[in-house]
Amino acid sequence: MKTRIKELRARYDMTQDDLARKIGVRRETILFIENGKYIPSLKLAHDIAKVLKITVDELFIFEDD
Amino acid sequence: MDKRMRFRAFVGILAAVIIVGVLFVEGSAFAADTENWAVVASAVILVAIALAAALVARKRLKETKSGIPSEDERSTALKMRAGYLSFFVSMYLCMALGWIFLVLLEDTTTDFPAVGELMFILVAAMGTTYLVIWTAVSRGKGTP
Repeated sequence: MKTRIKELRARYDMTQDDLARKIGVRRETILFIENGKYIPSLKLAHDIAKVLKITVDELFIFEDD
Repeated sequence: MDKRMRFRAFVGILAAVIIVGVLFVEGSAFAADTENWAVVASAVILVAIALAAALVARKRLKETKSGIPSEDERSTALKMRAGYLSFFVSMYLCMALGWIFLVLLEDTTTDFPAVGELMFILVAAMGTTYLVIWTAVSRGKGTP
């Protein structure tokens, strides 16, 4: 599973730390999600999508899509 | 009472309970005039736990002050997995040690520990293994 978090962060000129602080998680969590090493809960995915002004469905790219 | 104050109050109460526990165990041992090494060793372990709790509290307060959230989703998941793994490994180790004492040493001339001492050795081994494995696994590497 891949994510568009990095791309969207760049669009909004946001660092991993900025995003992490807005959501209330550690920076490492964002790093691991971006690298596909951690699958977030639906709640966290929703929070990230909300900050990045996108839907959860558009935020993640599944391999079989 | 905010989150930080609640955490400080919790650490204070925990430290007080541990200190009272140590004083009670040590006081009972001296009042009964016993020379049981397990009692002294238990007190050492309790002091070590109190010290570890103080260090963890200091680290968490430092993190809270710098704005790092203490209850992060991935951190919680990692710690829970670490706890699960540590519990099973330490439990099997405890069972293996018990088996060594009860089966292998039963018919030998080796001094067999008393029941209280045996229990202490097993619990201490289990606790130490749990702590070591938990610390190693929950350092944040890998996927939970």
